[in-house]
Amino acid sequence: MKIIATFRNVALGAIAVVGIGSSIDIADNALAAGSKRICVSWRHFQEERWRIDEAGIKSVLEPAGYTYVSADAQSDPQKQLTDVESLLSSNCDAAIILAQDSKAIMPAVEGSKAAGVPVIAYDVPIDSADVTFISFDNVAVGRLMAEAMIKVKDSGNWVKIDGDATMTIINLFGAGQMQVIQPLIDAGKIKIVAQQNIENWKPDLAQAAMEQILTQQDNKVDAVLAMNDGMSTGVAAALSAQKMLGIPLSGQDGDKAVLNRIAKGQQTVTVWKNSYLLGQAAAKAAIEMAEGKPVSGQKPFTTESGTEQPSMLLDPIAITYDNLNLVVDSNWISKEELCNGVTENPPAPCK
Amino acid sequence: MNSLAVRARTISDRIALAAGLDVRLLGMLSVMAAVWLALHVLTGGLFLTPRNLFNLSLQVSVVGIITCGMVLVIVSRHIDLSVGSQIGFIGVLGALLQNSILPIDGGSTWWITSLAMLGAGLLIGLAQGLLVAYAGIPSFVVTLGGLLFFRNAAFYINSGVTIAPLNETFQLLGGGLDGTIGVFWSWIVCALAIAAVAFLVWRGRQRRSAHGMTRRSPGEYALLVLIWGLAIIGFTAVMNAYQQPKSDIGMGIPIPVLILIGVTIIMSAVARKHRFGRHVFAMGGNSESAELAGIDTRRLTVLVFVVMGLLCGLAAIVITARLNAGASVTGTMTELNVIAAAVIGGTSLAGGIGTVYGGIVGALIMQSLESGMILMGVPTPLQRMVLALVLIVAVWIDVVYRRARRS
Repeated sequence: MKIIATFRNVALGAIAVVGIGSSIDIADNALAAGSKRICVSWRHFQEERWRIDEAGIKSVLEPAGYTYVSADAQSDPQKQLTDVESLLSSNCDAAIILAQDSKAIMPAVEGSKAAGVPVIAYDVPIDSADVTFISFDNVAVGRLMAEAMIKVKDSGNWVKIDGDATMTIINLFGAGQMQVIQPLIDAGKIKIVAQQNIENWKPDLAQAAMEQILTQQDNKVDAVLAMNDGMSTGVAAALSAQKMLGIPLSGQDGDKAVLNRIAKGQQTVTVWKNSYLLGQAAAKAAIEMAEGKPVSGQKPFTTESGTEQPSMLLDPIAITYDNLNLVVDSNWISKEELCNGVTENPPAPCK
Repeated sequence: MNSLAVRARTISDRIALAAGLDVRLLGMLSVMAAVWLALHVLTGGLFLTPRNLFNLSLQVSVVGIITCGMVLVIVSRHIDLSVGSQIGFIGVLGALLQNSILPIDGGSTWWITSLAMLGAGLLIGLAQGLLVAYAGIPSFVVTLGGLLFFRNAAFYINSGVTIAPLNETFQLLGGGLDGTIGVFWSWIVCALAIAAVAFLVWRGRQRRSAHGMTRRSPGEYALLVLIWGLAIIGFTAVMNAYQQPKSDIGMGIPIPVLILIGVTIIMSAVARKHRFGRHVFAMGGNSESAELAGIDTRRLTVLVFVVMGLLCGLAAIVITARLNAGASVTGTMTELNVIAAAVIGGTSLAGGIGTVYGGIVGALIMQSLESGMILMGVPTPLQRMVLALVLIVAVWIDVVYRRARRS
């Protein structure tokens, strides 16, 4: 199955390179025109993450008798426009769009509206009142991360290692973090002694930055609020060189290496987004929209430019030492991988 | 040019000659000294401390190692855009090997992994070299392909999952808490290095007289040994002065820094003295006349890329061991840092001109600015903007300098 999928991707890639039309999945396009089709336009499918989302979507569509049709824009906003056009002409009942560019996708949204096809903005916001936004609550990501941290340490010198400054999503993470931290800063308990944005979220750059911050602060650092797991791996390496591994440290994504560090007591928290659930939520909403029913559980959401749109924001989960069983039970990580090298004081799944 | 400038040039030439360095390098070292002093003041006295210099030497090691190869590549009128992706790919490969195939705690795991990683680098270099030299595809295209291919291969071979932790002995190759050779061995290395300098100076003197060239005065030779000796002792003393956290045990020279120094010396010697290096310069200067002179330029091109690949393997070992993790995004954009270091170090993008040690100083200047600005708490986008300007100004100065030299 995996080999077939791989071959298909390679073949699609080749078609795209040669430039023959759009890369709609021909196998699934089996002339079932008209009824019960949900179209998905991916931004860049060549990442592990989206396969999990796709599996979530299919798990809802197939039992409901819907056909899944998809196209992969391969990070090209221009190609995504033609992708959506082609998808629309195959008679979709609803479209799920993971936009490469929140603004450049607008013509596709207009086109869908003209064709009477409801659109779901998946994971990435689209700045239009005509779409339903389904994503994880990214403000909650920051908030959960910070909450788990202050449970362990609610005072002292904190360091913030933030993601790439050119990505606006870090503002959402940061806003969530500050909801929790700001009152403690105002109360004089927590002091942010250093903050750095890491280009491309690179672990090796995060490591160098943390080395410099520890030098600057003469190791007087009590906690490190890192925005994702890759960077927390770099921070952990820098802390380890100063025998400081074990001070509160945060992350995001549920990386296996990080879960292993949490089991070893070397990291405090990673905020985990189960994208299988996100895919399922989007598929359910798509079916409801296709059948002209109201989407259950939607709430109003205001985009950065102030546009109001219906939305459904899923809560991520903060994974700490105490709830590691969640990632094992959902088969995100095997027990062996989680407990590898855990000797003293094992968490529940490793006992 | 007025006489004052001429006199200034002869004086600087003499100092440079006495240290066995070219004037350009002396100029770069002065720039670096100025940068260091400025950063020392701006960071409130944090920059020129053993701890920060220790950090700096470690942080520069990966880019430094690759720069040694990149100088040769650029001198031969090629480019390698794939180095960052190569270290990402080889790093994940090595991490995967020791975590999934070899026993992670095995005694041989570290060197088998290291050899495999070097081998992977060699093969990548060979493949890219053959495509450039024999298939006649421009190196820009081949390595741009390599950049995309290996970055995605790094992702694909382990589905983007970061692999950690790594074998404990392997970790030593990245520096870290125990990844230094300690105070005692640092002094031994220091003594050996000084002995080697003295020997080389003595042999150089013998050669000069053997070829009937004018001998320099004994004083000049003594000065040469003295300058190098002090530099080596100073470096060792700084590395030893940095103590392990919460103890009074000196750290000594980190293993990756020893690797970088070793690579720099070998690559410098190869570039300047060895036939291979000279042929590369000849080919880069004028490919046609090199060919007419009987140099097999195709074979030479393949070799240049093989060396580059090997060094990428070595750099991948260091960066992976240092991070204690194999992550597919490791090394993203490193190619730009490396090319910038080579160019700041005086390597001409037109080919034929460049020095390995110049590239290392270029890497040091870039890393000093980067690390220093983090110490100062400069916001990241501003850091990048400063580095961009430094790159342009450095090359501009170089262009002006070369023009003045020619006239």
